[in-house]
Amino acid sequence: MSFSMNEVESLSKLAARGAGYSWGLAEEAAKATRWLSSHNVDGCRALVNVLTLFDCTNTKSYQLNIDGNTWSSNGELLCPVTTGSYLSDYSSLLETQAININDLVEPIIFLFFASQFAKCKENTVSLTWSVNSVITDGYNTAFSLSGSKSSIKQNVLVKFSAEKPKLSKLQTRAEPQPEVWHKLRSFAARTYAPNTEQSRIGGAGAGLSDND
Amino acid sequence: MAASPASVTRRKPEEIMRLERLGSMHQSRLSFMRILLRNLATEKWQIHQTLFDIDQSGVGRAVYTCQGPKRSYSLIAFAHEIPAEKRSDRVIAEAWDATFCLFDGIPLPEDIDRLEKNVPLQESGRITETELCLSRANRSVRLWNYVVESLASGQQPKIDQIQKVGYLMRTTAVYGSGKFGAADREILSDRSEMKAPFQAEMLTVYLIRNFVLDLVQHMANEIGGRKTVDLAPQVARQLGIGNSTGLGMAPFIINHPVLFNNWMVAREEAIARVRSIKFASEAKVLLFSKALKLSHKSIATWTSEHPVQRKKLGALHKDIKYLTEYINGFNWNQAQAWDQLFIWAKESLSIEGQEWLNSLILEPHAELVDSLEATLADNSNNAFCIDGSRPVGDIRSIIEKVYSWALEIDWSKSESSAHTWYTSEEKLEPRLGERFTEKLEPYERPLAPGRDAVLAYNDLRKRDKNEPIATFLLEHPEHRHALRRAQICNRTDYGEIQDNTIAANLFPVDMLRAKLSFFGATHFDPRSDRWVRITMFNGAPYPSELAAHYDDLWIYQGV
Repeated sequence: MSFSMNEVESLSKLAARGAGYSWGLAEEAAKATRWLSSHNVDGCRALVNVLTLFDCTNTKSYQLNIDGNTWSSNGELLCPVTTGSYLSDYSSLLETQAININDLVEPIIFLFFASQFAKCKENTVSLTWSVNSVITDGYNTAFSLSGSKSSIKQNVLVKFSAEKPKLSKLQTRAEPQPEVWHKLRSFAARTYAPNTEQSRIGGAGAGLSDND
Repeated sequence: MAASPASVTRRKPEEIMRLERLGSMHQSRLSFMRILLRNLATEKWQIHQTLFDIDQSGVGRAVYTCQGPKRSYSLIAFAHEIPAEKRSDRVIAEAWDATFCLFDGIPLPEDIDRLEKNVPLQESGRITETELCLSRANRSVRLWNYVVESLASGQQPKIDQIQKVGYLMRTTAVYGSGKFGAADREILSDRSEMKAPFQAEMLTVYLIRNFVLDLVQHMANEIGGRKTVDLAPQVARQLGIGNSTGLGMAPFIINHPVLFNNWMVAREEAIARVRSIKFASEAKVLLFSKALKLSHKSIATWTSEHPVQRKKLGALHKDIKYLTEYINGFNWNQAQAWDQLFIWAKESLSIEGQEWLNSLILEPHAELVDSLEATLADNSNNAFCIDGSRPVGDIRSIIEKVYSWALEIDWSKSESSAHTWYTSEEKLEPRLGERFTEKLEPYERPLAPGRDAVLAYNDLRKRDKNEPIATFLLEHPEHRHALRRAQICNRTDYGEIQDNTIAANLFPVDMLRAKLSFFGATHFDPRSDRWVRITMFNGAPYPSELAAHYDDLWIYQGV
């Protein structure tokens, strides 16, 4: 089934919130999923992988440690939403040198944040991990992905690049696999309050007759 | 007449962005319904019924195609027969008298077949990228049968009966922007006819009005046969489309601060421009007097059973009388007469009356006001990014500036946070709960910007003022939403409602009215503190009348 980008973003936000992310980070996760979907990458599946791994964990146990140009986790894994948000918020580090990010889950999600960062810096940023590489200037993105586009836990090199990506053709619809969409819905369902008679009557404010 | 836009500045956000005032807003030249009809008339759009296949019991399908200079759009309507007990305006309803979608272009028969399997199901069905809006409507039981029977017996319905209701059908939702599979807003945003907000939704409702007129005539013809008369054009004109709106709409103006800011800036700028006019010309004063008289008549038919609205209406009636007397002796030759009138109103009228007059003084000044429609949309792409390099001290200052009103609230008092916004499992729609008696807090939505900014501020106070907020946010992801918002609202004067949206005394209909007034709705009739009935397009010309004689003051000529 084909979904609008608005549906992808709305459901992803609730799914991330349902998996325990703060509202602000859930908004980031949703933007990332939408951005990936519009670039013909299965952002929904990547997000499901992230949410499944970090489901309701105390994100502080996966806190980002910054040691020179190396970013790593004080746990075993780094979350791409938290780490990516930090990059797009603020990183003077990349002004001068490349960053090595260790044990980053689903680097493809991190790519969205690198693209926002590139746009902000008016520069091209490259990401490489395993046999994959991507360059982005925030407007256009060129992918060179081998094998599965999504991958769990990689060491990623982030740096400025002199290359310029070619014009990206953006998608207007997403077609996630039904089981992926279902999984997002299950996470999102945790944000809905169970129905009670009080909420049914009072919550929406019944009031006067509505059939006249 | 000369305008000097700089001489009077826009009103201050702390005066305007209060719920009491937002809940007293009136439609204006900048309302989306009026923008739509103005543009349809100027560009000479042609609207035709291209299919009307409805049987004797009122069941079937119809298509109305709207052809413009570059593109066409079609309303596809499905008419149903439902038992009376199933008819409900609430979002929990599962059957409606009619269901609709707005199709991008001209549908093929197979498109209509596909949509017939989905549109009647509404939220449970799926539409696609070729559909822009999804909607449904119910008959007004009070008026529908009366009009059908009158026409079928050869009589025109009495105007006072029409005025009691104002519409034959009311919509209970008009979904757009990618909902239920529809095309995303971004697909439309570059089209000139869709640049202003909610134009697809407004077009849907406008075409529904035409369909409803044809349907009621069809039903009368079926019953009355040769005895039946056609509904007189002057009666038909009085009929709009009703709408019932609940809490689903309330979060919108909180969730879209840049967009809402743009709407408010446009209206405030328009008011400031008119107040800045050095001398009021006789022609403009005459036009204003005409709009005032028409508006007076229209407001006379505005009724509500809700005590809050009844009180406001009582004050408005007094204000109109007071203003009419005042105008009789008013010196229009004095310098900045429009501003003098504004200043008098601010001191003399209720808030409802002030905002009514503020919309009315825009009426004669199309050349100053109408171009502002280009500023209503939100085209900002970068508002979302947080500037994490800003030091903690800066963000504290921003919160002190943007949320000074929230910092003054004693949040330890239960009445300050009595409510919780949440979404129900049942219909996935926003609701408002009681924080201290219902177990809803784990499901709370971030719709209390004032409280959340204060919570962030309290943690920011514990940090070094030179620390970049990026590192603060790594430790405090729970404040990320509030700090993003603070940065956005720091760049927009009117982006934030400066009132507590979870207070015990919150009247949520105020939030609905603020948005609906920008749509161009009239006759606000709260049915509780959480849902409101309105009318849309009453008095509007029908498609066949648009090109020949378009009168911008149509909005005051409906009931």
